[in-house]
Amino acid sequence: MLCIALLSGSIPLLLAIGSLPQQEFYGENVYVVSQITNDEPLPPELLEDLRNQTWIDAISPETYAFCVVKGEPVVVRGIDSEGFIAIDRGEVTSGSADGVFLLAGERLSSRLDIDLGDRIILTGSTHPYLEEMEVTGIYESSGPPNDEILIPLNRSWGISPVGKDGLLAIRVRTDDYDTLKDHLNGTGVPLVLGDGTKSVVLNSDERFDARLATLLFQHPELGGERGVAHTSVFVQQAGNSVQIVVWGFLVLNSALITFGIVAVLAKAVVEKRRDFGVLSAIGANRAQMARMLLRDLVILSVPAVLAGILLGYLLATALGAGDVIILFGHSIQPSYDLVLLVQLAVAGLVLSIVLGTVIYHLISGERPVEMMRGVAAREERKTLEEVLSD
Amino acid sequence: MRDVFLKMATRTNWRTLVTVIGIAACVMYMAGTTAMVEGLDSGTDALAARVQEGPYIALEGSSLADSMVPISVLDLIEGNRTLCWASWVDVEIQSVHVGSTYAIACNDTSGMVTPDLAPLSGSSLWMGARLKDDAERMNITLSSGTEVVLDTAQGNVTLEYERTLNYGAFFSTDWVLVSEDVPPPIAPSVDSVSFILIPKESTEDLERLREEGLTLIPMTGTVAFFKGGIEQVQSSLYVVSLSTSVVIAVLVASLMSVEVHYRRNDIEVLRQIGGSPSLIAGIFTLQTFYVSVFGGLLGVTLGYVVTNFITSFAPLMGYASFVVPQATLSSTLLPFILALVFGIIGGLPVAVLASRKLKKEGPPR
Repeated sequence: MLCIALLSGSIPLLLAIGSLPQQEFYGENVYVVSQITNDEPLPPELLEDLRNQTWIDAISPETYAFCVVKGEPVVVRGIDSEGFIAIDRGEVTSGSADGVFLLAGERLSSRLDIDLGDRIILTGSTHPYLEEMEVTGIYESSGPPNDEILIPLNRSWGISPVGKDGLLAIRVRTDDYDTLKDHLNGTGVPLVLGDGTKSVVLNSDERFDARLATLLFQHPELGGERGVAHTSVFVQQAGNSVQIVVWGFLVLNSALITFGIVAVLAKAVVEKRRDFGVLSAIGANRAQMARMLLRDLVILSVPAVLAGILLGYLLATALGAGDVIILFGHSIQPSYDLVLLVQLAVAGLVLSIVLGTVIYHLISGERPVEMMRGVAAREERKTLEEVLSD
Repeated sequence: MRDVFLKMATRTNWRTLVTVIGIAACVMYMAGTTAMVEGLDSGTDALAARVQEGPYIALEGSSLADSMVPISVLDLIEGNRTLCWASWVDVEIQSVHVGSTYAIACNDTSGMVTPDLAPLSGSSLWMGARLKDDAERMNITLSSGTEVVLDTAQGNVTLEYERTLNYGAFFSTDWVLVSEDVPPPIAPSVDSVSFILIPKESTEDLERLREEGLTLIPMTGTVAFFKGGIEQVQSSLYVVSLSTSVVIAVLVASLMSVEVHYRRNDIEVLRQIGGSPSLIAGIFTLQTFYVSVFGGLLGVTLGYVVTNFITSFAPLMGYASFVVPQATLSSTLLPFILALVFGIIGGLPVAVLASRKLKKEGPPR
């Protein structure tokens, strides 16, 4: 039960961690247009052009800055409130997003005890800068903005590294990706278009290989100024890095849980050896005993798996509700759904039954009398001299 | 008897091997996950190192307007510092209210804010670019010498616009910068300052100010953001490890229990040759120890092999990253020691139970 609890508690949390970088920028039918290098920023005309397209449902120009608020790392997002809320589908639960606003994410405000009217000091992301703004509203979102601070685009220009009129990304919601890509191609503006799984470079000969980006990231002296200019690629790298750490956790977690189940079942099956010996002695054959074991395994595993999943769910939900797991200022909330719960239950049951059966077959070759005495038949009986010289 | 003790405690068969592999799986998990987080830490540190860090701002509380740092604090500062006074003012130009903002006066002898600040005379004012844009949207044209009235609850002062603080400047482009010789009511207080700027290199000064109870905020956020973020990752890892350690304890105890069960014939042999319960407990304790040591060593090795395998081959699937698993003291020694401790905690009760069982069962047949 503990193993299944660990499995069902950790996997939804790990999946949530892995999807955090994607959630930051993407969503259902949301694509991201970003600059290729700092040398070629996104022109304001591109934003106006995209705003005029009828096949675009919502559009949100954004900047991002890394700040520290009340000692905790916080992402500060420069936004156009109307476009952003249309993309994010959140809502301002108190206060307003009019004029010079500062919206604190609902979870952030409760974690850091931020109230309407509080003044918050913001500093430059990559350069020294000092700003102080008043909290004008609390914003509730189902995604990462729930842990972020949102300010007007023109207020973010001093904080983020883009400068006046700069944009780090334009998030676009449309159900017509191909039209978006063709349209962007037609603008002639060099840019990167991402859909959450891959990024394509448009209107540029730049073909920036991700592995080369990593190399330049680790050794910027190799690439000169261009080595640090590929913001979008490095964002992708950061996302990949978190994904890979999550994969590592998942692989190691699964190995640990499999061994855990093997160990517990081995102990249980070995403790049943005496019963198997008695049954064998009164005439039960291996097939009959295997069926009995299978029945016992199902009877034991079903409640253990269900209880384990419930315990894991409660544990993960408690960790999420208590904001215990926080990564780079974002509270990790377990992502459960019915399909995942069913998958976990089936995986736990199959794993228990298969492993229990395998362990049974490993010990069932013993003679009844040996099983009843609890002595391994595979180990030939030895004299005292043999044991000592072994 | 000592030879018998050692031989029985270190006897190896397929079950022992399975036990070693089981413990290795636990250690592999802990070593691998810790190494990956250390790798992420190292990668983000490298990112942080690319960013130029600015000075720290030291203030009382969390708002510039309310902060009053006693002037006596300056005695604690041995290195460079810039003193700043912030006054909340209403800005009026040509009798039009342009906005409410901070007027900042600086004593910047070290040139930390800007080397050009010194020529700012008592009657001059520099205006943030955004505030100036707001004024221009109100059809107010600013040129050198334009009168700007700064109004406070205590009265007002009229200064002359001199130049614009552009985007990329040190302070908010909503603020106005005035001379430290500015006349009352916004003249700097002689008893306190609003905030002090301290270079990040002055670590001892920063520590003394922190001990004094002042709030320290880096003026460049990225480095502190990533360092704080990694601390959060490490805290999260401890939460995961804590819950995992329960499973590891159960696993090791189960493995040792199975091992004892299978070695009942050895126990009988020991009884026949006069072995005491404490001798039998000792054998299993020693066996637990050596199984845990080998399992731990194998686990640490496997942890690095598996995580390096994942990070090395991930780019072939299009997942290039900057994570390189790092072998550090915490990612090697800690899982090893934990395996040893849990191995002994899991194995010892089983060993004691085995010996007690013998006592209960009485003399050998």
